[in-house]
Amino acid sequence: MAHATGVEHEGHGHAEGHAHDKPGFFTRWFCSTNHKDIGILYFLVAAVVGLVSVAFTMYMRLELMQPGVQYMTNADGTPNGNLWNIMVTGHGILMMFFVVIPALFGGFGNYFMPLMIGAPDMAFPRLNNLSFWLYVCGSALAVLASVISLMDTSQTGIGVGWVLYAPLSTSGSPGMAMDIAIFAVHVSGASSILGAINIIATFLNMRAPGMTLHKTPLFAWSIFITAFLILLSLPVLAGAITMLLMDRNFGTHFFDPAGGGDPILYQHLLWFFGHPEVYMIIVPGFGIISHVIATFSKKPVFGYLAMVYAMASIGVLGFVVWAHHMYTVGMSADTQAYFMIATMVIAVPTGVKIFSWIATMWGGSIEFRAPMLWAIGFIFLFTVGGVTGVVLSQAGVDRAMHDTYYVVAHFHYVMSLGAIFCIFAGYYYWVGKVTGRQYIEWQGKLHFWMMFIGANLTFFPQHFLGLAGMPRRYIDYHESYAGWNMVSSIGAFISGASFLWFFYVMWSTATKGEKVGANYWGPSADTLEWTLPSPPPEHTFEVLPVIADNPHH
Amino acid sequence: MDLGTPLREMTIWPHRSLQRRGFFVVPAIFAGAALVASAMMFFAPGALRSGGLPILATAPFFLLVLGGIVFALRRNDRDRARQYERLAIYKDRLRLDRMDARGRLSRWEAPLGMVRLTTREEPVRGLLLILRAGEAETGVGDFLSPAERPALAEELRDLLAEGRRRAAWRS
Repeated sequence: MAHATGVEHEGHGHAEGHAHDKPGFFTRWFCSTNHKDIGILYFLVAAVVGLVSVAFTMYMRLELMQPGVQYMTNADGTPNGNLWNIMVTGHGILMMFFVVIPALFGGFGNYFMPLMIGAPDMAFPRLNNLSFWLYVCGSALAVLASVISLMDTSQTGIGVGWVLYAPLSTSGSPGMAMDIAIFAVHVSGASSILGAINIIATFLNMRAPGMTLHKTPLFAWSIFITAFLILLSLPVLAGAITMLLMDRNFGTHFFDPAGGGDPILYQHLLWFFGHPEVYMIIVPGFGIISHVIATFSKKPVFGYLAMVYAMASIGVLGFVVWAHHMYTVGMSADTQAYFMIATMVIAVPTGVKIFSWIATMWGGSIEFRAPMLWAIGFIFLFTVGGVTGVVLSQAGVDRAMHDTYYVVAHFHYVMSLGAIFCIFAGYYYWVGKVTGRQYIEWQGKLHFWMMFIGANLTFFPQHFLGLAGMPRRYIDYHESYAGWNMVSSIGAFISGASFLWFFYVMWSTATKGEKVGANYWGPSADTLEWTLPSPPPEHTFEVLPVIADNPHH
Repeated sequence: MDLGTPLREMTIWPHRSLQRRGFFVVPAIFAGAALVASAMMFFAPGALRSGGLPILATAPFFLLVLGGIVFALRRNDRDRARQYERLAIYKDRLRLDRMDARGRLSRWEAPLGMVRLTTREEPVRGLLLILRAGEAETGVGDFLSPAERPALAEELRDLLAEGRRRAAWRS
């Protein structure tokens, strides 16, 4: 844009949507530094990894459909418990590290956070590209660890659960599969940390003029808070799994009592990361749900500031409750009492959010489009998961429920149902914006009802199984649990079918979806991304938008 | 060419939403939170039977992240701060030095008496500010938001008028 003396002026910069050189396919999708393209890539890779992880669960539920071991057997027909363990671990690691956070934080966060704050791109576009490819490397390593475990029967592989507890993951798992799995988590952590630093710099320094912190959209806030949670918790996980690698490969004894170490230390470190991980997963979902509910209630979100501070409070409280995952390790009564009370306190800001969403809908002109169905489904299911969480926060109760299917039901209601419903709410809300083509309404609604019915059939009976004492992480069970396990498996297959249907919906949207304009939801969708064409041009907000009167600087 | 000391000068830079104190407050909040978190793990009553010393293994990672935050905020600020336009009025000339985001400096210069500020309204970009001197022209304040440019136009007109007054008084 610089002009030397006497050179004829060629216009001031570029107009929105102007013709920059169009990158080729390889340049655009493999070398991209554009936050929108990287967001799409995150979402697509997470969907593919999600398919692998869901395939594992289908196999597991097939095995659990009836008592006895029918499918996961050795050549001589004996039960192959190691295969079961590998499936459980592979599902957990992939979902926790490589599906939900990348889809919500990497996918929606990358695409929409800069748009919502009026920034032209992320603060460090190349670092963004590096984060994405590190994530792909981590995903590939995690899948590789599962594959090696399945192919090489001479080693125990990764079958120790996603928490990688020592000593199962140290002396209990010789062979390279476990090292690769730990390295996969390391690489994924590096990716998340770089992404989080990028998000923080973007959010803090690149908001449009007039967009003060208290005017920033809730989704952008949720991504910022998640970034902070990542930066505070992942270093702890990185330290813990580095010690695991040292114990495995360099003869240290951090977690080995024989050498003066303590396996409980690993549990503390893991859960210091692990509990905030739940909020890293769900807080971006909170942001999405707020926008969806406000848009389809045709009202501004109720209690904006309370919503922001509730998210921040949930983030802070998430760091001081980790040991409620470990009531059975032998902590003192005082320590248990503290963790019990601190855990229950989280229900307060969570309640603020739930009631604010209900208050947003109250008196609104509610339209039950597919994103709204997913959002309402989320509120219902997340509340169920939250309530069972309060039950499990009681140390005395938890000692009875620990490692039963009640816990499995609880955390799947929060994460499998809560977070995944947020992802789908976000998908149907923004797919027209991203692709320029709108999903077909009946397809989105069918997807919702299949998933809602399937997921509830899968996980609600697991409360009963847990209360009846069925332990988790076993390939077989007593035949008295057969009835509800059959129901649960049928539900899982319906959910699995709904996931396959989702891939068809994506294809159908891209090929047959109706073309849409900038703001296809109407004036109640009032954040900055709705001022842009659908899909947005490659370069957006080269001219900064203004949110309110602001002084010239 | 050395034109001596300018009679009037104005510098324009793009918007940055993080205030000065933010560069200290944000890393301080992170460091404080990391310290509190580590202390909780270290001193949690009865939580760690073998002592909390291995928790120090997390310190290098925390320090790396802290360094990353400080570096990212400063680097981002520097990249954005690098961009500026400096308008200087000398006795008989006007000079516009322009530094782009990549650190490339360019210069536009014209006889002061010939320079006029004109504006043009465009649908997407809003009000555009153009300095003209005969056939030569250049945009000014392109990186500002549309709402900021009318105020800049006023300030530029005042600056040009005052510059010309001072130049006339000196000659």
